[in-house]
Amino acid sequence: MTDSTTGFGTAALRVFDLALGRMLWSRRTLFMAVVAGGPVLIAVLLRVMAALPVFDGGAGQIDGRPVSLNGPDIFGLMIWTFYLRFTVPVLGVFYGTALIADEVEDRTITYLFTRPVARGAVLAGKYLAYLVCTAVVVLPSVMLVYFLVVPLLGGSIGRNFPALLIDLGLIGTGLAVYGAVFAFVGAWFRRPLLTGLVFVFGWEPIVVVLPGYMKYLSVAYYLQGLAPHAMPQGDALSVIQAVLTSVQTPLGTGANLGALACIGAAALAAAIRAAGRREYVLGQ
Amino acid sequence: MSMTTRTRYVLLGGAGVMAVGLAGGLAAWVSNSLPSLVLAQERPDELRYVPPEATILSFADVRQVMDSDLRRRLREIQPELDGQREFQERTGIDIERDIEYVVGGIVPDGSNDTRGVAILAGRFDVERLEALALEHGGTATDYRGRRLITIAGEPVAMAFLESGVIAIGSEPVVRRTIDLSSSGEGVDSNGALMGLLRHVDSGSTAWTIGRLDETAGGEWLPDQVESQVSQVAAFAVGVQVNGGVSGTLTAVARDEETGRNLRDLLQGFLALARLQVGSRPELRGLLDSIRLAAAGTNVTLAFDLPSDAVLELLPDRSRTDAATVP
Repeated sequence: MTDSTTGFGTAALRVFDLALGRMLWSRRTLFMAVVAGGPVLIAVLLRVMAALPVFDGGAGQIDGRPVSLNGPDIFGLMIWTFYLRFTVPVLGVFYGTALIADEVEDRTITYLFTRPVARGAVLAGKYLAYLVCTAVVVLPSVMLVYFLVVPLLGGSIGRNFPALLIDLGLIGTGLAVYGAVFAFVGAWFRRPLLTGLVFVFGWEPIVVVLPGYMKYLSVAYYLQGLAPHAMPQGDALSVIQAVLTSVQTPLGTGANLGALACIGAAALAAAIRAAGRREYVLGQ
Repeated sequence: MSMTTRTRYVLLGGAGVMAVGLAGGLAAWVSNSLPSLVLAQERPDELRYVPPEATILSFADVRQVMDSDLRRRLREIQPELDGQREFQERTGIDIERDIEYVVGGIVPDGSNDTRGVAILAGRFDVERLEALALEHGGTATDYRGRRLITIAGEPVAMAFLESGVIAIGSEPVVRRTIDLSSSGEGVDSNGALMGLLRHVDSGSTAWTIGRLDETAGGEWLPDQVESQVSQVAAFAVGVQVNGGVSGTLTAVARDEETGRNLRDLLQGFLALARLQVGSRPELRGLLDSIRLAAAGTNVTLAFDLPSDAVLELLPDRSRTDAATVP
């Protein structure tokens, strides 16, 4: 066991160094590549379609008929649909819950916990590795999608650049907060992946549209409140959410950021504490 | 660090994509901001006649509107604009032919009231206009070397500022425009107001910018509207008219939270409107063309309507007129 804060930090960095390579070249990365590469592929397809003769009508026109979407709108739609509502929470679930659970499943946790480092430092180091691993794949994916999609149908890369910075910050924050929450779930619950999936696909989509205070018990509510793009209104749930949020008083930027910081810090602290105290029973 | 070479390559690759993207985006953003500086040179000279304390400023390229395809199609349905004949009878000015462009300003007068002035640039027969004004009971006087026409009992005045430029509006403000023609301290010097032009696309056919944060800035609005816009510090509207009408409306909220509230309010309104649009199919095109975006304190509504959709929104005068003919 380390006995000082410096020792904890050094130990966490060593674990980070070891875990990053393992995490980056694991089978899970293939899944992440598909999740992060999908939007890029769609963006490339949109560019190819934009080169077709039907797009020759000029900005805001397809086949001579006006279209109500332009490049920045499509990009905003992709940020909502692919990244904020899917990629960020799903990567948080798959990677966050695996930080401890994988070691338990592979029965390698004994080797880690018998090392002369704080158990919490192991989780902290692996959490840092998760952050770098996901950020280095997801953020460039967003960047590529931006440059491929935003110029379509008369959109301007320069004019929308501030919104891109907000999107990148938002996705980075989302990865950090979801990762911390599911790191705690992975360190505490017996079936962390199932719990995480229920939270992301069962709990959050429902509570964010319900009136009342339940939505405060989600990450998505605070994250979506910071999004610079208008919410897509393709499905009935979005229309209901748009109508409900129009008559409610949303939280401000500071409150949303503060809530996300509190959730992330509390979840990470709880995860480190749980990893340090819990006795993990390895199955036969 | 015991990182393998391929891990290092992945990290460097990701960081490289981010660095190149951020640098490219930043360069594009900086170059995109330049047109607002260039636009300063494109501002009409007549802005110098508008008092610098104006809270709302408008510009319309009337010639471009009249020569547009939209106006040509509109003329088939509605040969004359609302009030066009009355305006011509009272002032002698034919909007269709005489005016090149108009600059307008709303000026608070210090007693919780506002006054307006319109500066018209074009080709005017000064003698005929003056004669017509005198026929309508006007009085022509000289004020600081300019002809000023006032009408007894009416607060409206007209002044001939220079060749091809006349001012019409509230008498005190029209007198002020004559004062400004010598001092040159027009609304151009109001940086807070003119800075709003950065929200207007360069080359817009018409635009209006306004600051509502002055005490009397929103007094001209109806009470119900004034209470709704009280959280809006400024606005900018830019419209381009050609085959159709496209444009943007940017509202600058007093703070980010208000901006977010405004965006959500508009989003909810649009969602409700889409649900209600079944009974008014002609509004479908308008609603579908509206795009909503928010960044910080700015909320922007963009729309793009082709001429067919614009004409659908208008009552068909030709049919109405035909139906009323016995």
